[in-house]
Amino acid sequence: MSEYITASSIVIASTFLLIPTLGEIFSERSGILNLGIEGMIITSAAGSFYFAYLTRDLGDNSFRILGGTTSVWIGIMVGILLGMILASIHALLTITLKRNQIVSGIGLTIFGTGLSGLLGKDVLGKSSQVDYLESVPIPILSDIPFFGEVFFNNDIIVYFSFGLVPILWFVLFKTKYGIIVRTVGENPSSAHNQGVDVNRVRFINVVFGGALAGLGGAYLSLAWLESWTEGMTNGRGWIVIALVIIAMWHPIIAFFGAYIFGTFWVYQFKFQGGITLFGITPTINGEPIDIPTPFIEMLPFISTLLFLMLGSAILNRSKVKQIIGAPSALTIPFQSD
Amino acid sequence: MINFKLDIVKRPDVITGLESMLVRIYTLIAGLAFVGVIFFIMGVNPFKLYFEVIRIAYFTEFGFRQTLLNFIPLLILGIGLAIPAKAQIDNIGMEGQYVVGALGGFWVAFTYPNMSSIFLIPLMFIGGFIAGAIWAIPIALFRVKGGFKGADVVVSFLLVFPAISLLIYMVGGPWKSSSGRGFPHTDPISDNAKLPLIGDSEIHITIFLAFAFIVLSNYLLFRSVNGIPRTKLGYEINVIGKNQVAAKIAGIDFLKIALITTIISGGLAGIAGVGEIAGNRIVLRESISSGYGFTAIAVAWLGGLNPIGIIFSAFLFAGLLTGNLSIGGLLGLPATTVDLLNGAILLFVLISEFFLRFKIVRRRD
Repeated sequence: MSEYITASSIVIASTFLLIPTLGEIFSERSGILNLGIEGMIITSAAGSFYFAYLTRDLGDNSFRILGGTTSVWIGIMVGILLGMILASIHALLTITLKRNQIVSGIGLTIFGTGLSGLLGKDVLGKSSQVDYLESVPIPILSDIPFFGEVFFNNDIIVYFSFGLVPILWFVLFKTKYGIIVRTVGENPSSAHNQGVDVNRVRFINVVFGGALAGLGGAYLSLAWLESWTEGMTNGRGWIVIALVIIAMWHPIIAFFGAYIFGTFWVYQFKFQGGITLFGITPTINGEPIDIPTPFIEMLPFISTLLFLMLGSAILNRSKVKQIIGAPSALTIPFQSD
Repeated sequence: MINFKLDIVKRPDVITGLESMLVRIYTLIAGLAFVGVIFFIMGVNPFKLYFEVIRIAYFTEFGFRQTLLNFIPLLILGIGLAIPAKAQIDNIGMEGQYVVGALGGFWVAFTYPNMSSIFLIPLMFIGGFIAGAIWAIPIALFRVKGGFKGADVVVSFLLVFPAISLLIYMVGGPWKSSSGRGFPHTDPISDNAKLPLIGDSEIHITIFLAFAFIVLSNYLLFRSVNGIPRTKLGYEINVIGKNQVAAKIAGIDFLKIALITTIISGGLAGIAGVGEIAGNRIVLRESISSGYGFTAIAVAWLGGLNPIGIIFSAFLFAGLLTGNLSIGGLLGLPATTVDLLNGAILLFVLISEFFLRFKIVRRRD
């Protein structure tokens, strides 16, 4: 059974990484780099937890819609809304006022961290009084051995992310709106000449990115970790930004990237209780390998850096650059005259 | 009929000098007011809060001492952040370099406890500089060779976490004090390794070092005559910061400049770490920073990436950090509250930069 538990916690960790990554892909595809992901996620995590706590007695708690009580869904909505509000600040500064996207993103991250502390100050240690999102097994599919247990015996947001990946891929590459978004990110002046309102498209995409980051934050506190603690994102927002690069700004590659990184996070927790892989405990001279916990905690960050190095090496080849490189107008404000 | 439509108009000249200082002060007030509104919504009286912060941080003996102790690392980190930022390299992970630098200095102090202070203390600072610089080098490499925007920011931040893990490992493992009770910590450094204090205050001599860095960096890198910095390095940093294409055409090696500036930056962070450990804390614990590395981002930007401006903003944020810790318990606020101000001020600095270049006028039809 234990491999089922690990595998489905990988699915949950990966879903959390995947959703903000998809939003950031849309934001960056339109030419706006939002480094405030960490701030948006943590503010939404605190805000959604706070509102789920406030509304805990609202409605019938035994009645669940899609695995969540009324308070859970209110919390998730608040999380999405907070993400959108913070993203609008970034959009206002970088699109309307044409300021430096990198500094604005850093500011948003720091601001969000502070805001999360304030939002969460009254609900610290109240984890047992809040309802959380429960799994909704999909009939028939969840009966498939292993595969069904792992992928179709989860909460509704996991299924939502399964749907979101192909939908966003379709929107980005097969619809007129997707062409507009990509043109705005690659060559905003030509989009402008064809009558596209460049700044509006960018605004919409940044706020959409904020909504998904907010959903990710709500998922973190109300589904994955089922608690609120200060600094609970623990740098995962920055891993999301790295994921966008490793995924080459492509929703489907992002799906696989998120699952690779999710695996690292889960194994980081798992290894802290002793190193075992596929039921085998590797040994040196008959003693189990004992890696101190702090080094195991480095695993997600070091592996992300290694993947980034790999990504850089690939992106630096000029042939590759022509096909997939970063959106050409990324971080460049658009001036219409 | 009155027309309410507004237009954004470019100013003929960018505001500089005294007027730009005024704009920054307005920025600060606007940022404090904005956060004040958030405090009000969250049920905290902002006037009482700010009044208490200022009173404790600058007008009580205990508070002012703490403010000066915060001022030293913030000043060094702020200047260390501004140097690469001038060349458009964002090292926001100075917290990590600070921690690794403190480990480097501590290692020197632990290995040679009986060496004479005259040699040991400079050696500790050199150890801290090297450790911090090594931690920062990947930032330069990714910035130049990374092939994607924001690589320096992401990499510098990702490197903070392994640094803290390393600290936790050393404090709880090889360097753990045998007499330790409660939270893990190391043995104190030997008396030879302790930094001299000024008079009978608790202010350690790193403050002179900090001002030396301010003077040196201002003289060598920032000060300009007719808009052109005096030294070759300062000139090259300036060109890269303003126009990367022009720099490339002029034959300026971006990788070289990136490496030099990030090594200075990481090294200074390391020195700040050594100063804090050898001058103030004496033992290593799992947490050895009051968020100095992240606060330094707002310090450098509010100071306009200018050494003289950084002195003032470092003094301000040093007080905020003091006030934040002291009033936290009083008003039931978490330690991250100061980040709210850091972040808001950073965002408002960006808005102020807009007003230095543009003005908003009523549209005339």
